[in-house]
Amino acid sequence: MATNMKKKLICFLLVFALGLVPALAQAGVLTANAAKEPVATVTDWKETHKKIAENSKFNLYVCEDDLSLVVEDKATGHYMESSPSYDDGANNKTWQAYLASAVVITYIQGNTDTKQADLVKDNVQKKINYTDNGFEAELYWTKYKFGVTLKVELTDDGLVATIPDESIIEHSDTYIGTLAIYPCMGVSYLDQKEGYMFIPDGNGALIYLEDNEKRFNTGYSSMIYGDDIGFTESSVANLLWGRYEMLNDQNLTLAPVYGIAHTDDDMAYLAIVEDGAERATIEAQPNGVNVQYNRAYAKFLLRKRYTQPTSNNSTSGSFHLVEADRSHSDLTMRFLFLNGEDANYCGMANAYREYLLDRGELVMQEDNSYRTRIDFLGTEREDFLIGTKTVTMTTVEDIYEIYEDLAGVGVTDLFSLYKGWQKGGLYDLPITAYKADKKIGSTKELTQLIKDAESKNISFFLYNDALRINPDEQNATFNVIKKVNKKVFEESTYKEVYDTFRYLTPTRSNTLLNRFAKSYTKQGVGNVALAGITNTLFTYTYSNVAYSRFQAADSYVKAVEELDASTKLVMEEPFAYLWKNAEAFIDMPVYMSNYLYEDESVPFLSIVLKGVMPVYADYVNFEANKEEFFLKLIETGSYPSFYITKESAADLINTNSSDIYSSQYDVYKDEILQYTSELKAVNEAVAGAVITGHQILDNGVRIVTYSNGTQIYLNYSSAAQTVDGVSIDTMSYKVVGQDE
Amino acid sequence: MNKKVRKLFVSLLALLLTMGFFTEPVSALADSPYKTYTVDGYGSVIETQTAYLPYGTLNKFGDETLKAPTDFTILDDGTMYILDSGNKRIIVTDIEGNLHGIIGEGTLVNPKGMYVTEDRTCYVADRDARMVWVFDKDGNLIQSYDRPTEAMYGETQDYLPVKIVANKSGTIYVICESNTNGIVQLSPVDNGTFLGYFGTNATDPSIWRIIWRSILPDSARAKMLGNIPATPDNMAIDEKGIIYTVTRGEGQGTLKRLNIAGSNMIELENGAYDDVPAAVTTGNHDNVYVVSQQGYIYEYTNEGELLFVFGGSDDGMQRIGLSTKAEAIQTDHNDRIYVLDSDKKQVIIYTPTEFTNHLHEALYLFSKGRYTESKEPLNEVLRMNNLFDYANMAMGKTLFKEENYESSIEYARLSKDKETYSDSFWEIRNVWLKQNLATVFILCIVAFVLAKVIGALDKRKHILDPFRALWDKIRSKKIIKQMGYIFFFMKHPIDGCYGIRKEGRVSVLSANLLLVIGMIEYIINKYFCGFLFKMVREGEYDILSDIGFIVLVLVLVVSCNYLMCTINDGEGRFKQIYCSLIYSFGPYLILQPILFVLSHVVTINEEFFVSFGNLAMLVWVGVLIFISIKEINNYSVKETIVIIGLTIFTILIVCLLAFIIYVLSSQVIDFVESIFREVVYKIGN
Repeated sequence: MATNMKKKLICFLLVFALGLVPALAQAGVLTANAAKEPVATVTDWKETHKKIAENSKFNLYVCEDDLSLVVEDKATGHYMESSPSYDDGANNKTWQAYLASAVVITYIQGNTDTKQADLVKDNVQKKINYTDNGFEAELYWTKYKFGVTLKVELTDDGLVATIPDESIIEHSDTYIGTLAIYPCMGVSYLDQKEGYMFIPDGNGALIYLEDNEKRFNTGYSSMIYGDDIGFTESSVANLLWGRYEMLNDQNLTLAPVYGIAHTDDDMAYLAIVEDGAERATIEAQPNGVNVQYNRAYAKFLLRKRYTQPTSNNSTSGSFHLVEADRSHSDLTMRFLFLNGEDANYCGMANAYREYLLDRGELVMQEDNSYRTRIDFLGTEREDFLIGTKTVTMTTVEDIYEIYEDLAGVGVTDLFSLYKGWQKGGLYDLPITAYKADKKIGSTKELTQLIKDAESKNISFFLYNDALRINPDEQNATFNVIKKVNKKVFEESTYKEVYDTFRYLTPTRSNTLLNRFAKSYTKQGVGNVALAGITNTLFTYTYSNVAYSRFQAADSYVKAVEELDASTKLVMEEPFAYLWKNAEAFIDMPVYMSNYLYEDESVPFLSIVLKGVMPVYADYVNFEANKEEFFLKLIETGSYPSFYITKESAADLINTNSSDIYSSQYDVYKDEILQYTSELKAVNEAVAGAVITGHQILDNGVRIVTYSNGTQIYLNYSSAAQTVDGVSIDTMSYKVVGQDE
Repeated sequence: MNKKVRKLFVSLLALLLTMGFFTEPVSALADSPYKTYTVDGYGSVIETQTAYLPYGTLNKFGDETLKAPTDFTILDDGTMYILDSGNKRIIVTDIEGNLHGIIGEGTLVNPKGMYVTEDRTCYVADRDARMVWVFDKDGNLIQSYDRPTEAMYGETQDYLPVKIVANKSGTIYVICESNTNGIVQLSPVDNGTFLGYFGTNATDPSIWRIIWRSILPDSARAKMLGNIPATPDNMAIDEKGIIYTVTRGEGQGTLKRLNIAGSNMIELENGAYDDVPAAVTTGNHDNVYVVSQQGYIYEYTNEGELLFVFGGSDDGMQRIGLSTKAEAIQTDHNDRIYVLDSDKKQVIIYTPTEFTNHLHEALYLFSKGRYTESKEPLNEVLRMNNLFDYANMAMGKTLFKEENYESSIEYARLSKDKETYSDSFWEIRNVWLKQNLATVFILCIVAFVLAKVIGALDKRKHILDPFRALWDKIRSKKIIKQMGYIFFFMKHPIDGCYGIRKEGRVSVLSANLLLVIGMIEYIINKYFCGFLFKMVREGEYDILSDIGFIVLVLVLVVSCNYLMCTINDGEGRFKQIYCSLIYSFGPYLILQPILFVLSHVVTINEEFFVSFGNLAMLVWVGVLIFISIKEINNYSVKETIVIIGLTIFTILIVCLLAFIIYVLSSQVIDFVESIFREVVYKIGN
């Protein structure tokens, strides 16, 4: 009894004490303390937002103050919002405004380019017109004298938000630097939601919505279609012993997409940057980066400051300038909302595939069959006395021999690129005519080889880097791009023989490609493997005229379409806007970049492209973990690639290709045989099918499901595992057909 | 109450264990953010397969985080001790990040280094406490060592312990900041007996330094960096008690493997080291790892040969595997590498790839002398990268042991392993001689007989007359005569100089032609001489700069010499000085081709012939130059010596002047260009 009494007393005292704290706080006794402790509040979005449109699956709500949206799943009542209704009370006014606003701008005024303009803390004139499926809002920032019109529409598959190019007005010398539309679409606080953000890093990567305990101070930020070399400052790279490049490039962002999935709500969206992607970045900020919210968004770049050096010696002086004109394009975000079973990255990839196929931006290729890719290196150059001399690696005759040898052991499904076939060797760029290097055989013999290969059902392509020009071999004074600061752009190779390359202007690339194609197709052959211009995009100046990335992309699209009309084209790691012209995808990345905040790599691009066009992975030669890489090839449905030479790679040590340290055919023959026999069987089981499902289990097993019902189980763990009654050895795989 | 807590604890523990279990087997599935390089026998750097992949990071241990950690140790069972310097404590954890305990709170002041033995005795070097602390496995302070009192320690020497290791018998090695005498060696006997200094770094007594110091006035010399040995930056101790140290700015002495007597056992001449090494540790395969402050990780054989270098500085993109400020490095029994980063407050874990595992296996077998067995992993390594220098070297040696000399010599040449090359070459030459000696003899006899027959025929029927006539015709050409004068000049330099001065026996043209011949010989010899004598790497050619260099030196020497001679009553004219200098190189022109041929047939054993020939040739040339300067100008011996000294001095002054003019003019051009461009841009915008 006594103990009971004691307990009661303690309870009472506790309650009393607890009650006292807020009372005292109100009385001002503890205000100093209370101000430090942020108070979380939750707003009911139904009170602030009103419904303006609906489609078969979703309702759309808008808040007129900040134009923030809520998309509600009709069936379940789950929703995703563009402004968090949960406020942790820890954010300053700028961040509060950021989190709520439909449009967030950073403006350039004099020497600052990081200040924020938004719909909440700034004085904005709003004119909202409701349309059938959404609204149109004219927005004008009176203080900065610029404005945009935001159009939002709910379509059958999701939501489209657009700012038309002509609606962007700048009435003073305060310019719009960057602009984000609904930067907090699908926002969540810490780990309140289960799920992940999907980012297009490498083949695809996920960032889980976990409480990161403030471990990260930066998030993912990657320019769509690669960094803009037109703006790169001549900074000192971080070199080993002052000479050797140590860091690998980050993966290119090949497709303008990102997504967020709330798996506990069975709701997700895939965002596609439909217009303006050529000059935009994809950003994903997990909680802990500035605020405790998880955000993913696209940031459009309209105008940028740059450094104008005043001398060739970069240390002696420079000043800052702002681009004279902003880039011109509509800015369109398409959010494809997904629910139910589709609310995951695989659903996103499937939705993206459908989207591309519908619009003709991706074309189902007729020939999707399995082939082993064997690329050959013809000739390279090394320094010799005065000038350079040829290093012959693989001649036309050698290729005949290798094909015959492989046919002898039953490897006939082949796909080859021939690199360094042209006169002057691999880096005698650009290629202006169809003329083979004498050391590999005559042009006629090469033509015959291409024809003979075709008759043997071997796809044989000539490799052509249409972007680079080698100033040591060709006149590179004209027709090369300059950066925005009107300095000639030079790409450092950090290699012995040729230390820099320049880039041709897109027009010049086009002209030279046409010239090459003409002399090539005249011989009755027309297989081209295009590189360089397929995965590079830049702002540039030429003859004192500034060109934007949009113009460069347009030129390249035109060049590729012209080339496609007369030749058969495969492309090296092409950007999304070129996919429709590619008959095969070369050098697909299978991994992610391994950022600190990334949790899982997923085969997003592979799910999009598998079954649509043949996809060839990076070279097997240079992989250190062959077992793991082999499983990755199966998981992504990619076909294996080998870089092969007849001579030993040791011969390349004094050339620019010194990074090819292993390539001799005799060394790789067995491996080619083994890869071919296994991968051919796997890929024939899923021939003609696309990937419809992809699962990652906790025990290191991944399951890939194809549209024909075939399932592939892959075990990446160091122990044998059994899943669904299927047992898989360590570092191994199993194909389970529909009937089994 | 208690029961509940215990239950909770148990379930939590179970959760942690399962989590640990699940995080273990799933591999990294990612590209590495860095490249991996290796270095070949010529010191040139070659890219290679990723040797280690970033596996993960640890920055939370239970609920504890780190603050400026400076050192850590991983024991065989996976227990990890981290010296959390900023928080003045030691965190005991495992490699999954579970906290096992905290040591030293309240005792440590500003600890900088730590060493933990397998029985979990923990030694801490505390700089600001000027103390070495020793904790037992339960974290109790059991011993402390302060400044040694022995006179041998140095009376004014401060005691600032920063790094520490201990061997199995309990002897402690301490690196003290700013103590340049070496590593302080303490015995646990009598509360710390000072045993003496160990592994002192050598000073740099180069001849230039001595000359420089003697030239400088006292005040400038005082400002100059003292010629005192560097203090090691860090050290490690292996199973056998051998100590490895790293010292910044020591060039080839950066990494040292010190035996019990304190002398360095690494004898490599062209090791590849980092300028700012941070820490060193040993691996499981007689290998050594060094991490630099920027985060470059180097793996060496215990001979100091570089196997891999990888890693690097974070470019701000937060990719796993890049460091900001690396402090310490450790390995575990799985060959994983752990790097402690004080700026990022985390431990980065790297895991070896298949390629590295093959290499380690080969390394182990090869170092144990099991050559035949080592061939398989070596082949595997070379299959993946046939430029990998260490593997080529090992393969060359292995094949030599198997008496497969033809293949061995190929590998030895690839890896610039001159010893094996020479040995294999000796064997191959031996075989060739055995097989062909008879043929050679026969050929010689045939040639001899033929010569005799022709001579006899010539005597009778004069069949060689047309050739003789031709020869005479050629010889009678003036220019040939002038060039042929070089033979006479070599043997009779004094008369030769007289001929040049008074008789006009040579011309500028003939001297120029000889110069061209000399340059051709020089270039051929430089790039095509026998492998054992080659100074440049295979396949490397830089002819233009070779020619440029020769011409530049020649112009400088001749003109400076001429200038000095004219103001010192020299009688020689410019042309004479130039010609006599060129003709003085007669021995080079004649002997170099012979040495060139010789260099192709000798091995290291007979190297003497070539090097002696070279020396003799150079001495001869030197003597000729001296005599020609003396004779052409009609100087005495003493005057000649003075003139040579003056010429060297003038050359230095000219070089200095050229440099100053270059620097100044480029500044002016740059300045004008800046102004011009700025005006253009400002108007343009």
